[in-house]
Amino acid sequence: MELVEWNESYSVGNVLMDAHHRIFFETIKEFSEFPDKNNHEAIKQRIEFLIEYAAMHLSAEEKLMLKANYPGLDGHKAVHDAFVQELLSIKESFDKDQTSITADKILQIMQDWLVTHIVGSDKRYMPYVQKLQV
Amino acid sequence: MAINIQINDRSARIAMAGRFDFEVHRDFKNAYMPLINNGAVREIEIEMSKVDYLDSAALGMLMLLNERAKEASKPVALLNASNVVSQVLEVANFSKIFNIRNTV
Repeated sequence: MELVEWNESYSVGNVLMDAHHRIFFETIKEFSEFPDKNNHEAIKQRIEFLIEYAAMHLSAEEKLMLKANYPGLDGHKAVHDAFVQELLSIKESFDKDQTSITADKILQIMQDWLVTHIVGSDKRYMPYVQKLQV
Repeated sequence: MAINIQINDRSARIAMAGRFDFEVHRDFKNAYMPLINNGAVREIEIEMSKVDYLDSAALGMLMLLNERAKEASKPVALLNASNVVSQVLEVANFSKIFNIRNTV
């Protein structure tokens, strides 16, 4: 899979969110290099960890948007909730049948969503969050 | 990786050693969750002097700890990181997020 590395163009103007995003990308990369892709239990644990991490990050981001009085919070939160549901549904399918989707495909879905979401949605809260830090 | 937990007065210290990577994610979470839920513990310290390797998943594990501790109003400090580990923490901008200090 083609891997994305975090760079300044992905910055959303908040140190914590940028650090969260960067670690998300790097952990996806790390897991994509895991050699034993047929080890169902090992892959399952990694997917669970990334879902746990994603949920933590999205919740922290929602708290930040609330604190910054970002007017788009409700819509943004709905997008987050839909993503978590999608991940849980993928995980459920994978748990039942490990041939239903490959580990790389799951990582690719996560990475693609993250890139699109940072550039298309997170950047919109940037001016509000930056004002908060002044 | 050995994980050792000590509670001294109001501060709890989790000492990590060796490789701090995804393989210890469950043990690490099992070590800190009781401390988050322990009302007597006011601060959580991660002793890192014996950690010789830190991967990206471990940075994520520290972020998970940090957010959970924040909800319980407990600061998290990272102690005595070696030069190699300090560089990883620095690149990840952890000095702006965690209290990083040397006690020895």
